[in-house]
Amino acid sequence: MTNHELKSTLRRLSRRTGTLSSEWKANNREILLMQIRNSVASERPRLLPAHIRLFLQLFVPTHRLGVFAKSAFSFVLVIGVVLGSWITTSSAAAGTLPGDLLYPWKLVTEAAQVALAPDAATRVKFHVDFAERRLEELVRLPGRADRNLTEHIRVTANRFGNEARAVSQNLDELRGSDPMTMVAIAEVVDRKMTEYDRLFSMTKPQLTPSSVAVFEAGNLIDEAGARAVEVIAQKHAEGLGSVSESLVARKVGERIRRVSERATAVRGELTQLASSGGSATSSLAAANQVEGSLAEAKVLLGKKDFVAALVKVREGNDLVLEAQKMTEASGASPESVSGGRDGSDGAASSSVESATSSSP
Amino acid sequence: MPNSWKEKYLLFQVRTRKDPEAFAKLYDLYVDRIYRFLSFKLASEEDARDITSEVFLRSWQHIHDGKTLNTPVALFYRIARNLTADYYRSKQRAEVPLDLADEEENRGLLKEAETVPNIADRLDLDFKTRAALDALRGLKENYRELVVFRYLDELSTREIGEILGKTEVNVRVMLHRALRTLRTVMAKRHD
Repeated sequence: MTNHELKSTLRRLSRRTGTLSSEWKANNREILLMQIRNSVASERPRLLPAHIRLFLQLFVPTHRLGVFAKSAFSFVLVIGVVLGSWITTSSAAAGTLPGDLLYPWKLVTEAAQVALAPDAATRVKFHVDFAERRLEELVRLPGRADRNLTEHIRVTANRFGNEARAVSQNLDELRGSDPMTMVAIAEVVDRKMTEYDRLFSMTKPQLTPSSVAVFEAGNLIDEAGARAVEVIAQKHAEGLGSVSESLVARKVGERIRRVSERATAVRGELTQLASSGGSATSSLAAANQVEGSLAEAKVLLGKKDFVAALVKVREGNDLVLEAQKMTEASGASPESVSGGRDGSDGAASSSVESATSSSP
Repeated sequence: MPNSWKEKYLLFQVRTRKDPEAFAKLYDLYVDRIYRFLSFKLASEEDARDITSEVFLRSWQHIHDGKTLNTPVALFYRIARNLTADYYRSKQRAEVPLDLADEEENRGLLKEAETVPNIADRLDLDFKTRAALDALRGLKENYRELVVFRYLDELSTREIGEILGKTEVNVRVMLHRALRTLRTVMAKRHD
Protein backbone atom coordinates (compact mmCIF):
# COMPACT_ATOMS: atom_id res chain seq x y z
CA MET A 1 0.00 0.00 0.00
CA THR A 2 1.43 3.40 -0.96
CA ASN A 3 1.52 6.34 1.41
CA HIS A 4 -1.27 8.01 -0.54
CA GLU A 5 -3.53 4.93 -0.30
CA LEU A 6 -2.80 4.55 3.39
CA LYS A 7 -3.69 8.18 4.09
CA SER A 8 -6.94 7.81 2.11
CA THR A 9 -7.80 4.69 4.11
CA LEU A 10 -7.13 6.48 7.38
CA ARG A 11 -9.26 9.43 6.30
CA ARG A 12 -12.03 7.01 5.43
CA LEU A 13 -11.70 5.58 8.91
CA SER A 14 -12.05 9.03 10.41
CA ARG A 15 -15.44 9.47 8.73
CA ARG A 16 -16.66 6.21 10.26
CA THR A 17 -15.55 6.70 13.83
CA GLY A 18 -16.30 8.88 16.81
CA THR A 19 -19.60 10.56 16.04
CA LEU A 20 -21.82 11.79 18.81
CA SER A 21 -25.56 12.02 18.48
CA SER A 22 -27.01 15.53 18.18
CA GLU A 23 -29.21 14.80 21.16
CA TRP A 24 -26.28 13.88 23.38
CA LYS A 25 -24.33 16.96 22.29
CA ALA A 26 -27.27 19.29 22.94
CA ASN A 27 -27.98 17.79 26.38
CA ASN A 28 -24.34 17.84 27.34
CA ARG A 29 -24.05 21.43 26.18
CA GLU A 30 -26.91 22.45 28.43
CA ILE A 31 -25.38 20.66 31.41
CA LEU A 32 -22.01 22.26 30.74
CA LEU A 33 -23.56 25.73 30.46
CA MET A 34 -25.41 25.19 33.73
CA GLN A 35 -22.24 24.13 35.50
CA ILE A 36 -20.14 27.00 34.24
CA ARG A 37 -22.83 29.62 34.79
CA ASN A 38 -22.89 28.59 38.43
CA SER A 39 -19.21 29.35 38.67
CA VAL A 40 -19.55 32.83 37.19
CA ALA A 41 -20.65 35.94 39.12
CA SER A 42 -23.95 37.43 37.93
CA GLU A 43 -22.32 40.70 36.87
CA ARG A 44 -19.96 40.62 33.88
CA PRO A 45 -16.48 41.86 34.74
CA ARG A 46 -15.50 45.32 33.54
CA LEU A 47 -12.94 45.66 30.79
CA LEU A 48 -9.52 46.07 32.38
CA PRO A 49 -6.25 47.36 30.90
CA ALA A 50 -4.93 43.77 30.92
CA HIS A 51 -7.81 42.82 28.65
CA ILE A 52 -6.69 45.36 26.07
CA ARG A 53 -3.38 43.51 25.84
CA LEU A 54 -5.25 40.23 25.35
CA PHE A 55 -7.38 41.82 22.61
CA LEU A 56 -4.30 43.17 20.82
CA GLN A 57 -2.77 39.67 20.93
CA LEU A 58 -5.53 38.58 18.55
CA PHE A 59 -3.89 40.69 15.86
CA VAL A 60 -0.31 41.40 16.88
CA PRO A 61 2.08 38.57 17.78
CA THR A 62 3.20 38.63 21.41
CA HIS A 63 6.82 39.43 20.57
CA ARG A 64 5.73 42.63 18.83
CA LEU A 65 3.43 43.81 21.56
CA GLY A 66 6.29 45.54 23.33
CA VAL A 67 7.00 47.62 20.24
CA PHE A 68 3.31 48.33 19.85
CA ALA A 69 2.89 49.38 23.48
CA LYS A 70 6.09 51.35 23.81
CA SER A 71 5.61 53.44 20.71
CA ALA A 72 3.96 56.73 21.50
CA PHE A 73 2.51 56.56 17.99
CA SER A 74 0.63 53.27 18.44
CA PHE A 75 -2.55 54.85 19.76
CA VAL A 76 -2.32 57.51 17.05
CA LEU A 77 -2.01 54.72 14.49
CA VAL A 78 -5.37 53.22 15.46
CA ILE A 79 -7.04 56.59 14.97
CA GLY A 80 -4.87 57.32 11.95
CA VAL A 81 -5.90 54.13 10.16
CA VAL A 82 -9.55 55.01 10.63
CA LEU A 83 -9.10 58.62 9.56
CA GLY A 84 -6.63 57.74 6.80
CA SER A 85 -3.99 60.09 8.11
CA TRP A 86 -1.25 57.53 8.64
CA ILE A 87 0.05 57.74 5.09
CA THR A 88 2.45 60.66 5.58
CA THR A 89 4.13 59.23 8.64
CA SER A 90 4.28 55.78 7.09
CA SER A 91 6.02 57.20 4.03
CA ALA A 92 8.62 58.80 6.29
CA ALA A 93 9.09 55.49 8.13
CA ALA A 94 9.35 53.38 4.96
CA GLY A 95 13.14 53.53 4.55
CA THR A 96 14.07 53.27 8.22
CA LEU A 97 16.25 50.59 9.79
CA PRO A 98 16.22 48.97 13.25
CA GLY A 99 17.42 51.56 15.73
CA ASP A 100 15.89 54.51 13.86
CA LEU A 101 13.25 56.58 15.63
CA LEU A 102 10.43 55.82 13.21
CA TYR A 103 11.28 52.12 12.75
CA PRO A 104 8.68 50.95 15.33
CA TRP A 105 6.06 52.89 13.39
CA LYS A 106 7.03 50.96 10.25
CA LEU A 107 6.43 47.64 12.04
CA VAL A 108 3.19 48.79 13.59
CA THR A 109 1.90 49.95 10.19
CA GLU A 110 2.74 46.56 8.71
CA ALA A 111 0.96 44.78 11.57
CA ALA A 112 -2.11 46.92 11.04
CA GLN A 113 -2.12 46.17 7.29
CA VAL A 114 -2.05 42.43 8.01
CA ALA A 115 -4.74 42.75 10.68
CA LEU A 116 -7.02 44.58 8.28
CA ALA A 117 -6.37 42.24 5.34
CA PRO A 118 -9.69 40.78 4.13
CA ASP A 119 -8.47 37.28 3.29
CA ALA A 120 -5.56 34.84 3.39
CA ALA A 121 -4.52 35.66 -0.19
CA THR A 122 -3.98 39.32 0.71
CA ARG A 123 -2.12 38.32 3.86
CA VAL A 124 0.24 36.12 1.83
CA LYS A 125 1.03 39.08 -0.44
CA PHE A 126 1.67 41.33 2.55
CA HIS A 127 3.97 38.84 4.23
CA VAL A 128 5.91 38.29 0.98
CA ASP A 129 6.40 42.08 0.71
CA PHE A 130 7.38 42.43 4.35
CA ALA A 131 9.88 39.56 4.00
CA GLU A 132 11.46 41.58 1.19
CA ARG A 133 11.63 44.63 3.46
CA ARG A 134 13.34 42.63 6.21
CA LEU A 135 15.81 41.24 3.68
CA GLU A 136 16.53 44.75 2.44
CA GLU A 137 17.16 45.82 6.04
CA LEU A 138 19.54 42.88 6.51
CA VAL A 139 21.44 43.92 3.37
CA ARG A 140 21.71 47.54 4.54
CA LEU A 141 22.46 46.99 8.24
CA PRO A 142 26.10 45.82 8.05
CA GLY A 143 27.09 49.01 6.20
CA ARG A 144 25.90 51.22 9.02
CA ALA A 145 27.70 52.45 12.10
CA ASP A 146 25.56 50.92 14.84
CA ARG A 147 26.50 50.20 18.44
CA ASN A 148 23.88 47.46 18.65
CA LEU A 149 24.52 45.99 15.21
CA THR A 150 24.68 42.33 16.35
CA GLU A 151 21.39 42.59 18.19
CA HIS A 152 19.69 44.44 15.33
CA ILE A 153 20.86 41.80 12.85
CA ARG A 154 19.59 39.02 15.11
CA VAL A 155 16.20 40.64 15.60
CA THR A 156 15.80 41.49 11.92
CA ALA A 157 16.76 37.95 10.87
CA ASN A 158 14.15 36.70 13.32
CA ARG A 159 11.53 38.96 11.77
CA PHE A 160 12.59 37.88 8.27
CA GLY A 161 12.09 34.25 9.30
CA ASN A 162 8.73 35.08 10.88
CA GLU A 163 7.48 36.68 7.67
CA ALA A 164 8.49 33.52 5.79
CA ARG A 165 6.70 31.41 8.37
CA ALA A 166 3.59 33.56 8.02
CA VAL A 167 3.71 33.06 4.23
CA SER A 168 3.69 29.26 4.76
CA GLN A 169 0.85 29.43 7.28
CA ASN A 170 -1.31 31.64 5.11
CA LEU A 171 -0.67 29.40 2.08
CA ASP A 172 -2.19 26.59 4.14
CA GLU A 173 -5.23 28.74 4.83
CA LEU A 174 -5.78 29.18 1.09
CA ARG A 175 -6.83 25.56 0.76
CA GLY A 176 -10.52 26.35 0.34
CA SER A 177 -9.93 29.16 -2.18
CA ASP A 178 -10.38 29.23 -5.92
CA PRO A 179 -7.71 26.92 -7.42
CA MET A 180 -6.53 29.43 -10.05
CA THR A 181 -5.95 32.05 -7.34
CA MET A 182 -4.08 29.52 -5.22
CA VAL A 183 -1.77 28.54 -8.05
CA ALA A 184 -1.15 32.15 -9.05
CA ILE A 185 -0.22 33.07 -5.49
CA ALA A 186 1.87 29.93 -5.03
CA GLU A 187 3.84 30.72 -8.19
CA VAL A 188 4.56 34.24 -6.94
CA VAL A 189 5.63 32.87 -3.55
CA ASP A 190 7.89 30.25 -5.15
CA ARG A 191 9.53 32.84 -7.39
CA LYS A 192 9.98 35.36 -4.60
CA MET A 193 11.30 32.84 -2.08
CA THR A 194 13.85 31.57 -4.62
CA GLU A 195 14.99 35.15 -5.15
CA TYR A 196 15.11 35.90 -1.43
CA ASP A 197 17.00 32.67 -0.80
CA ARG A 198 19.64 33.65 -3.34
CA LEU A 199 20.00 37.19 -1.96
CA PHE A 200 20.00 35.96 1.61
CA SER A 201 22.76 33.46 0.85
CA MET A 202 24.82 36.30 -0.63
CA THR A 203 24.14 38.52 2.38
CA LYS A 204 24.80 35.90 5.09
CA PRO A 205 28.62 36.19 5.09
CA GLN A 206 28.27 39.87 6.02
CA LEU A 207 25.95 39.12 8.92
CA THR A 208 28.75 38.27 11.33
CA PRO A 209 28.81 37.00 13.93
CA SER A 210 26.20 34.62 12.54
CA SER A 211 23.42 33.54 14.86
CA VAL A 212 20.71 30.95 15.24
CA ALA A 213 18.21 33.55 14.01
CA VAL A 214 20.08 33.93 10.71
CA PHE A 215 20.34 30.16 10.36
CA GLU A 216 16.61 29.68 11.13
CA ALA A 217 15.58 32.43 8.71
CA GLY A 218 17.21 30.54 5.85
CA ASN A 219 15.29 27.39 6.77
CA LEU A 220 11.99 29.25 6.96
CA ILE A 221 12.48 30.84 3.53
CA ASP A 222 13.15 27.38 2.13
CA GLU A 223 10.04 26.05 3.87
CA ALA A 224 7.81 28.75 2.37
CA GLY A 225 9.17 27.97 -1.10
CA ALA A 226 8.59 24.23 -0.53
CA ARG A 227 4.97 24.82 0.48
CA ALA A 228 4.38 26.89 -2.63
CA VAL A 229 5.70 24.10 -4.88
CA GLU A 230 3.49 21.58 -3.04
CA VAL A 231 0.44 23.74 -3.74
CA ILE A 232 1.31 23.91 -7.44
CA ALA A 233 1.86 20.14 -7.66
CA GLN A 234 -1.38 19.45 -5.79
CA LYS A 235 -3.42 21.63 -8.12
CA HIS A 236 -1.82 19.95 -11.14
CA ALA A 237 -2.75 16.55 -9.68
CA GLU A 238 -6.34 17.79 -9.26
CA GLY A 239 -6.46 18.43 -13.00
CA LEU A 240 -6.10 22.20 -13.11
CA GLY A 241 -5.27 22.72 -16.79
CA SER A 242 -3.35 25.97 -16.37
CA VAL A 243 -0.51 24.19 -14.50
CA SER A 244 1.73 22.51 -17.07
CA GLU A 245 3.39 19.18 -16.40
CA SER A 246 6.80 20.49 -17.46
CA LEU A 247 6.55 23.37 -14.99
CA VAL A 248 5.72 21.04 -12.12
CA ALA A 249 8.43 18.56 -13.13
CA ARG A 250 11.01 21.36 -13.25
CA LYS A 251 10.03 22.69 -9.83
CA VAL A 252 10.08 19.25 -8.23
CA GLY A 253 13.48 18.61 -9.78
CA GLU A 254 14.75 21.88 -8.32
CA ARG A 255 13.52 20.90 -4.88
CA ILE A 256 15.27 17.52 -5.06
CA ARG A 257 18.46 19.22 -6.16
CA ARG A 258 18.31 21.76 -3.36
CA VAL A 259 17.74 19.21 -0.62
CA SER A 260 20.50 17.01 -2.02
CA GLU A 261 22.93 19.97 -1.95
CA ARG A 262 22.05 20.74 1.64
CA ALA A 263 22.45 17.13 2.67
CA THR A 264 25.86 16.89 1.00
CA ALA A 265 27.05 20.08 2.67
CA VAL A 266 25.75 18.98 6.07
CA ARG A 267 27.34 15.53 5.71
CA GLY A 268 30.68 17.14 4.84
CA GLU A 269 30.58 19.39 7.89
CA LEU A 270 29.49 16.57 10.18
CA THR A 271 32.29 14.30 8.95
CA GLN A 272 34.75 17.09 9.74
CA LEU A 273 33.19 17.57 13.16
CA ALA A 274 33.37 13.85 13.90
CA SER A 275 37.03 13.64 12.81
CA SER A 276 37.96 16.54 15.10
CA GLY A 277 36.49 14.71 18.07
CA GLY A 278 32.98 16.20 18.01
CA SER A 279 29.87 14.13 18.61
CA ALA A 280 28.09 13.67 15.30
CA THR A 281 27.02 10.03 15.03
CA SER A 282 23.26 10.47 15.24
CA SER A 283 23.38 13.59 13.08
CA LEU A 284 25.36 11.70 10.42
CA ALA A 285 22.88 8.81 10.53
CA ALA A 286 20.02 11.23 9.89
CA ALA A 287 21.94 12.95 7.08
CA ASN A 288 22.72 9.58 5.46
CA GLN A 289 19.06 8.57 5.43
CA VAL A 290 18.31 11.59 3.27
CA GLU A 291 19.70 9.94 0.14
CA GLY A 292 17.22 7.08 0.49
CA SER A 293 14.29 9.51 0.54
CA LEU A 294 15.66 11.51 -2.38
CA ALA A 295 16.28 8.33 -4.43
CA GLU A 296 12.62 7.43 -3.96
CA ALA A 297 11.66 10.99 -4.91
CA LYS A 298 13.60 10.71 -8.18
CA VAL A 299 11.84 7.46 -9.05
CA LEU A 300 8.45 9.06 -8.38
CA LEU A 301 9.44 12.11 -10.42
CA GLY A 302 10.29 9.80 -13.33
CA LYS A 303 6.81 8.28 -12.99
CA LYS A 304 5.36 11.84 -12.91
CA ASP A 305 3.82 11.27 -9.46
CA PHE A 306 4.80 14.79 -8.42
CA VAL A 307 2.79 14.98 -5.18
CA ALA A 308 4.29 11.73 -3.87
CA ALA A 309 7.77 12.86 -4.98
CA LEU A 310 7.39 16.06 -2.96
CA VAL A 311 6.36 14.03 0.10
CA LYS A 312 9.67 12.17 -0.18
CA VAL A 313 11.56 15.43 -0.70
CA ARG A 314 9.97 16.80 2.44
CA GLU A 315 10.97 13.66 4.32
CA GLY A 316 14.54 14.18 3.18
CA ASN A 317 14.51 17.86 4.05
CA ASP A 318 13.13 17.18 7.52
CA LEU A 319 15.96 14.71 8.11
CA VAL A 320 18.51 17.35 7.04
CA LEU A 321 16.94 19.82 9.48
CA GLU A 322 16.99 17.19 12.21
CA ALA A 323 20.70 16.57 11.57
CA GLN A 324 21.36 20.30 11.71
CA LYS A 325 19.45 20.73 14.95
CA MET A 326 21.12 17.74 16.61
CA THR A 327 24.48 19.17 15.68
CA GLU A 328 23.50 22.58 17.02
CA ALA A 329 22.57 20.93 20.29
CA SER A 330 26.01 19.31 20.42
CA GLY A 331 27.55 22.75 20.43
CA ALA A 332 28.63 23.28 16.80
CA SER A 333 28.04 26.80 15.50
CA PRO A 334 25.08 27.34 13.17
CA GLU A 335 27.30 28.53 10.30
CA SER A 336 29.26 25.30 10.31
CA VAL A 337 26.15 23.28 9.52
CA SER A 338 24.05 25.72 7.56
CA GLY A 339 24.23 23.56 4.40
CA GLY A 340 25.39 25.34 1.22
CA ARG A 341 23.08 26.23 -1.63
CA ASP A 342 25.76 26.75 -4.26
CA GLY A 343 25.05 23.69 -6.40
CA SER A 344 28.01 21.69 -5.16
CA ASP A 345 26.39 18.31 -5.84
CA GLY A 346 26.91 17.77 -9.57
CA ALA A 347 26.01 14.05 -9.38
CA ALA A 348 22.61 14.77 -7.86
CA SER A 349 21.93 17.44 -10.49
CA SER A 350 22.63 15.15 -13.46
CA SER A 351 20.55 12.26 -12.11
CA VAL A 352 17.63 14.63 -11.45
CA GLU A 353 17.93 15.98 -14.98
CA SER A 354 17.80 12.46 -16.45
CA ALA A 355 14.69 11.70 -14.36
CA THR A 356 12.94 14.76 -15.74
CA SER A 357 14.19 14.47 -19.32
CA SER A 358 11.10 12.55 -20.47
CA SER A 359 8.80 15.44 -19.46
CA PRO A 360 7.41 17.45 -22.39
CA MET B 1 -13.42 35.63 9.79
CA PRO B 2 -10.98 32.72 9.50
CA ASN B 3 -11.70 29.82 11.86
CA SER B 4 -8.56 30.40 13.90
CA TRP B 5 -9.45 34.07 14.39
CA LYS B 6 -12.99 33.15 15.38
CA GLU B 7 -11.60 30.73 17.97
CA LYS B 8 -9.14 33.32 19.26
CA TYR B 9 -11.92 35.85 19.60
CA LEU B 10 -14.13 33.34 21.46
CA LEU B 11 -11.23 32.54 23.77
CA PHE B 12 -10.72 36.25 24.37
CA GLN B 13 -14.40 36.55 25.35
CA VAL B 14 -14.07 33.61 27.73
CA ARG B 15 -10.90 34.90 29.37
CA THR B 16 -11.96 38.50 29.81
CA ARG B 17 -15.72 38.41 30.13
CA LYS B 18 -16.14 34.88 31.48
CA ASP B 19 -18.74 34.47 28.74
CA PRO B 20 -20.38 31.01 28.96
CA GLU B 21 -21.97 31.35 25.52
CA ALA B 22 -18.58 31.99 23.93
CA PHE B 23 -17.25 28.86 25.64
CA ALA B 24 -20.27 26.91 24.45
CA LYS B 25 -19.41 27.92 20.86
CA LEU B 26 -15.89 26.55 21.36
CA TYR B 27 -17.53 23.38 22.65
CA ASP B 28 -19.59 23.15 19.43
CA LEU B 29 -16.41 23.48 17.34
CA TYR B 30 -14.44 20.82 19.20
CA VAL B 31 -16.74 18.29 20.86
CA ASP B 32 -16.81 15.83 17.94
CA ARG B 33 -13.06 15.89 17.47
CA ILE B 34 -12.32 15.38 21.16
CA TYR B 35 -14.80 12.51 21.34
CA ARG B 36 -13.26 10.84 18.30
CA PHE B 37 -9.78 11.23 19.76
CA LEU B 38 -10.94 9.67 23.03
CA SER B 39 -12.82 6.84 21.32
CA PHE B 40 -9.45 5.62 20.04
CA LYS B 41 -8.00 5.64 23.52
CA LEU B 42 -10.76 4.27 25.71
CA ALA B 43 -12.46 0.92 26.04
CA SER B 44 -16.08 2.04 25.93
CA GLU B 45 -18.16 4.70 24.27
CA GLU B 46 -19.62 5.62 27.64
CA ASP B 47 -16.19 6.33 29.10
CA ALA B 48 -15.30 8.36 26.01
CA ARG B 49 -18.47 10.45 26.42
CA ASP B 50 -17.88 10.97 30.14
CA ILE B 51 -14.34 12.10 29.62
CA THR B 52 -15.38 14.32 26.71
CA SER B 53 -17.69 16.19 29.09
CA GLU B 54 -14.95 16.38 31.67
CA VAL B 55 -12.49 17.83 29.12
CA PHE B 56 -14.64 20.89 28.57
CA LEU B 57 -15.38 21.43 32.23
CA ARG B 58 -11.70 21.18 33.12
CA SER B 59 -10.82 23.51 30.24
CA TRP B 60 -13.19 26.15 31.58
CA GLN B 61 -11.56 25.79 34.99
CA HIS B 62 -8.09 25.96 33.46
CA ILE B 63 -8.88 29.21 31.68
CA HIS B 64 -10.30 30.77 34.82
CA ASP B 65 -7.41 29.77 36.95
CA GLY B 66 -5.47 32.11 34.66
CA LYS B 67 -3.15 29.34 33.41
CA THR B 68 -1.14 29.95 30.26
CA LEU B 69 -2.50 28.51 27.07
CA ASN B 70 -1.84 29.00 23.40
CA THR B 71 -4.87 27.96 21.42
CA PRO B 72 -8.13 26.13 22.08
CA VAL B 73 -6.93 23.07 20.13
CA ALA B 74 -3.82 22.69 22.30
CA LEU B 75 -5.84 23.21 25.48
CA PHE B 76 -8.61 20.69 24.77
CA TYR B 77 -6.35 17.95 23.42
CA ARG B 78 -3.81 18.29 26.20
CA ILE B 79 -6.50 18.01 28.83
CA ALA B 80 -8.00 15.04 27.00
CA ARG B 81 -4.62 13.27 27.03
CA ASN B 82 -4.10 14.02 30.70
CA LEU B 83 -7.56 12.81 31.67
CA THR B 84 -7.04 9.58 29.72
CA ALA B 85 -3.79 8.95 31.56
CA ASP B 86 -5.52 9.65 34.88
CA TYR B 87 -8.34 7.30 33.91
CA TYR B 88 -5.98 4.39 33.30
CA ARG B 89 -3.96 5.14 36.41
CA SER B 90 -7.03 5.14 38.61
CA LYS B 91 -8.34 1.98 36.94
CA GLN B 92 -5.10 0.16 37.52
CA ARG B 93 -4.81 1.30 41.11
CA ALA B 94 -8.27 -0.12 41.76
CA GLU B 95 -7.29 -3.50 40.27
CA VAL B 96 -3.62 -3.87 41.12
CA PRO B 97 -2.18 -4.43 44.60
CA LEU B 98 0.11 -1.69 45.91
CA ASP B 99 3.28 -3.73 45.54
CA LEU B 100 2.70 -3.99 41.80
CA ALA B 101 1.94 -0.27 41.40
CA ASP B 102 5.27 0.30 39.63
CA GLU B 103 4.01 -1.64 36.60
CA GLU B 104 0.84 0.40 36.22
CA GLU B 105 2.19 2.55 33.38
CA ASN B 106 3.02 -0.51 31.27
CA ARG B 107 -0.35 -2.07 32.02
CA GLY B 108 -2.02 1.19 31.14
CA LEU B 109 -0.29 1.19 27.76
CA LEU B 110 -1.32 -2.43 27.12
CA LYS B 111 -4.89 -1.60 28.07
CA GLU B 112 -4.87 1.27 25.62
CA ALA B 113 -3.65 -1.02 22.86
CA GLU B 114 -6.51 -3.39 23.59
CA THR B 115 -9.16 -0.71 23.17
CA VAL B 116 -8.68 -0.33 19.43
CA PRO B 117 -10.23 -3.65 18.35
CA ASN B 118 -13.35 -2.74 20.32
CA ILE B 119 -13.88 0.06 17.87
CA ALA B 120 -13.40 -2.31 14.94
CA ASP B 121 -16.03 -4.64 16.41
CA ARG B 122 -18.54 -1.81 16.69
CA LEU B 123 -18.15 -0.74 13.11
CA ASP B 124 -18.93 -2.33 9.81
CA LEU B 125 -15.64 -1.72 7.99
CA ASP B 126 -14.34 -2.78 4.61
CA PHE B 127 -11.30 -5.04 4.60
CA LYS B 128 -8.68 -2.37 3.95
CA THR B 129 -10.01 -0.03 6.61
CA ARG B 130 -10.21 -2.83 9.12
CA ALA B 131 -6.64 -3.83 8.28
CA ALA B 132 -5.52 -0.24 8.88
CA LEU B 133 -7.35 -0.15 12.19
CA ASP B 134 -5.81 -3.45 13.30
CA ALA B 135 -2.37 -2.23 12.28
CA LEU B 136 -2.92 0.99 14.23
CA ARG B 137 -3.25 -1.17 17.30
CA GLY B 138 0.19 -2.60 16.66
CA LEU B 139 1.87 0.78 16.76
CA LYS B 140 3.47 2.14 19.87
CA GLU B 141 1.39 4.72 21.68
CA ASN B 142 3.14 7.90 20.55
CA TYR B 143 3.05 6.84 16.87
CA ARG B 144 -0.60 5.82 17.09
CA GLU B 145 -1.50 9.12 18.69
CA LEU B 146 0.28 11.06 15.91
CA VAL B 147 -1.51 9.12 13.17
CA VAL B 148 -4.88 9.75 14.87
CA PHE B 149 -4.12 13.46 15.27
CA ARG B 150 -3.00 13.93 11.69
CA TYR B 151 -5.16 11.65 9.56
CA LEU B 152 -8.28 11.12 11.64
CA ASP B 153 -8.59 14.40 13.49
CA GLU B 154 -6.95 16.27 10.56
CA LEU B 155 -4.90 18.54 12.77
CA SER B 156 -2.04 20.45 11.16
CA THR B 157 1.54 19.66 12.13
CA ARG B 158 1.67 23.04 13.85
CA GLU B 159 -1.35 22.19 16.01
CA ILE B 160 0.06 18.76 16.83
CA GLY B 161 3.33 20.41 17.82
CA GLU B 162 1.46 22.72 20.19
CA ILE B 163 -0.37 19.80 21.80
CA LEU B 164 2.72 17.67 22.25
CA GLY B 165 5.15 20.51 22.98
CA LYS B 166 7.31 19.64 19.97
CA THR B 167 8.50 21.53 16.90
CA GLU B 168 6.78 21.08 13.55
CA VAL B 169 9.88 19.45 12.12
CA ASN B 170 9.94 16.88 14.94
CA VAL B 171 6.28 16.14 14.37
CA ARG B 172 6.76 15.63 10.62
CA VAL B 173 9.76 13.36 11.10
CA MET B 174 7.86 11.26 13.65
CA LEU B 175 4.84 11.13 11.33
CA HIS B 176 6.98 9.84 8.46
CA ARG B 177 8.30 7.12 10.77
CA ALA B 178 4.84 6.31 12.11
CA LEU B 179 3.44 5.84 8.59
CA ARG B 180 6.41 3.75 7.54
CA THR B 181 5.94 1.54 10.61
CA LEU B 182 2.19 1.30 9.97
CA ARG B 183 2.82 0.17 6.39
CA THR B 184 5.33 -2.41 7.64
CA VAL B 185 2.86 -3.75 10.22
CA MET B 186 0.11 -3.94 7.60
CA ALA B 187 2.40 -5.74 5.14
CA LYS B 188 3.40 -8.30 7.80
CA ARG B 189 -0.21 -8.97 8.77
CA HIS B 190 -1.16 -9.35 5.10
CA ASP B 191 1.55 -11.99 4.78
